[in-house]
Amino acid sequence: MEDINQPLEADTGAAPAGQPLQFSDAVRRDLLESAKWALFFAVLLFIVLGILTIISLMAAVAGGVMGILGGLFVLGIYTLFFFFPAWYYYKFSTLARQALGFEDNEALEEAFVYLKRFYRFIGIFIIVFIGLYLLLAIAGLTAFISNDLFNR
Amino acid sequence: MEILDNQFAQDSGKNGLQVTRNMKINWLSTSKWVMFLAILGFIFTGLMVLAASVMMPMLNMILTMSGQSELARQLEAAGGIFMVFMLLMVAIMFFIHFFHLRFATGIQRSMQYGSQDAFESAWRNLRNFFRINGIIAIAMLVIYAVVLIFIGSMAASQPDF
Repeated sequence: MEDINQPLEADTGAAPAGQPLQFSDAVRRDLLESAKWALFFAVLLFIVLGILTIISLMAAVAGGVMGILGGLFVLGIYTLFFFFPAWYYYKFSTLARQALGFEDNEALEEAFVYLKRFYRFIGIFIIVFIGLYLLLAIAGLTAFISNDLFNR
Repeated sequence: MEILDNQFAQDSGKNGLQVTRNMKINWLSTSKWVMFLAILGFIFTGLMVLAASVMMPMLNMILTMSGQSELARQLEAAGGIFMVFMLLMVAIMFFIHFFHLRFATGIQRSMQYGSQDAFESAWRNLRNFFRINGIIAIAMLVIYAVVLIFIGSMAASQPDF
């Protein structure tokens, strides 16, 4: 039975024979401090989102029909940019602190899911940003070349 | 009943938290994204160094072309401050991405070899990452507050502002 289980466990990335990974005191301390900082960043991001919401709503009210559409569009983009990272940080922080305080393993699992989601969001966001940047650069270059700017 | 009590005592003890398979899967995925961010960050730090090394000779050229005026001397002083500021920013950026890289490699190593040392080092590096970012954020907030108060007091001291 042991022989059959061995390759399966190795495949899932389980630790080889010996002491499995432990949440030692050092790891707990570091996780707790990370969680507290994460809450700080989450609150900061929510405050920034609130300020941006107020500003874009003011712009929307001031600008007529186009202003309302533009303001709501900008508000949507801001919400997308700021809400999800802040929410993931907030969930990571609260769940990690709950897990460390009450020895709640399920909460800890959930906390790491939110940490992963945070980094995935930032990663995809940056990939999209770089993609847009390259696209604009290529579009600008082709426009520049096809316009025959030098022959005018 | 005794067995149940023992079970409960063990669960609520210091070692109640266990590394599970789901955690490992999430950590591996996290470490890949963190590694990506760290490498990208190093590239941007390098680009920033490159930009600074291009701008410094340009600033010097402007200074030599403008002659020995009062403005040139002021610009020279500003150039020094700019250089120090740039170096500081590059150093901070480097350390932020360095901590991210160490977190990612530590997690991956602890998953592969079951190394407790690498595991502890990984979380220490994530903490360092949060710490350096948090300190920068607090410093920026304080600078904003000081600038706002300064502008406010300037505006208040001038009646026709």
